[in-house]
Amino acid sequence: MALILKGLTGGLMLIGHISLVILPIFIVLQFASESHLLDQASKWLRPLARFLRISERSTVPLLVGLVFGLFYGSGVIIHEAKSGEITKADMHITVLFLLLCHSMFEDTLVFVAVGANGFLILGIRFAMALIATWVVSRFVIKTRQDEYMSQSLTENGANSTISGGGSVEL
Amino acid sequence: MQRENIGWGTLGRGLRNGLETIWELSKVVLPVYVVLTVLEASLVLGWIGERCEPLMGLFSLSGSCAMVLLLGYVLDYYAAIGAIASLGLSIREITILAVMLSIGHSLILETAVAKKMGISATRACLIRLGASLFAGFLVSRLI
Repeated sequence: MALILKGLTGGLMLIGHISLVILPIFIVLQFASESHLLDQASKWLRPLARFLRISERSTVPLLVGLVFGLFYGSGVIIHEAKSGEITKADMHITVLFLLLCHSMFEDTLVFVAVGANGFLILGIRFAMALIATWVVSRFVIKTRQDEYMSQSLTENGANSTISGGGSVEL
Repeated sequence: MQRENIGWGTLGRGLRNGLETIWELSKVVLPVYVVLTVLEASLVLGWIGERCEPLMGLFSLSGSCAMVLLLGYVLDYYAAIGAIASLGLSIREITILAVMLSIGHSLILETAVAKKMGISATRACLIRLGASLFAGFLVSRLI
């Protein structure tokens, strides 16, 4: 019983702690997205998005996950998943990639601090994530390929009409 | 993305999204944290760790590293690093462990969070564990 209480207080403290991290991230991100800074920032993730065959919009959760990690970034990623702006298949691929490779700064530096080679860690993690998502996007989610293809087609169509002006600006 | 004037409204929208998400996240974090606290205090991890010691040869690690991996997988890498510090391992062993743990860590908590993002928990867990073990095997042959 005391143990459960200890777990609850620890959990509450963790929630307080992550609130301190998540709230500023959300506020900064809201500013970034409304001022179109986010579009700029996630621009250089586009080659990766193209390789993973995911929509441009997916670069937002991808970027947040890569920088802040699966846990601290989860707020934004869950929010994006529920927003309906990213297809289920795209979200699957994005989360799969992030499962293997996220929080590139903190995770790497923690192990560098105890004497491991940071480049090796980053390189292998990135490679594992690329391989896994490549395999899954080509073979496992293959049954959804047609659906995915038509989805991305209509998505592109929608994009060009709705945010066409925005992309010209960029 | 709405295109409105940037100002206090932006701050409010960001804050509201953040609070909503923290509430969602709390529902995951609290129960998981209780489970982890109980696990940490119980002898379960030690028992499993002992059983896994013979497997460490696969990654050219000494038997005591089983506990380090287990702590990292189940709890978080800070717990694992605490164990690394107390064991006095070689740089080579630390590097192999670091590669494995950077891919797979905090599996219970992060899987619970990933489930909220719409991915199957079992699949998420197995993929990370598989990738972590595979990477460890690979790196132990390379360095």
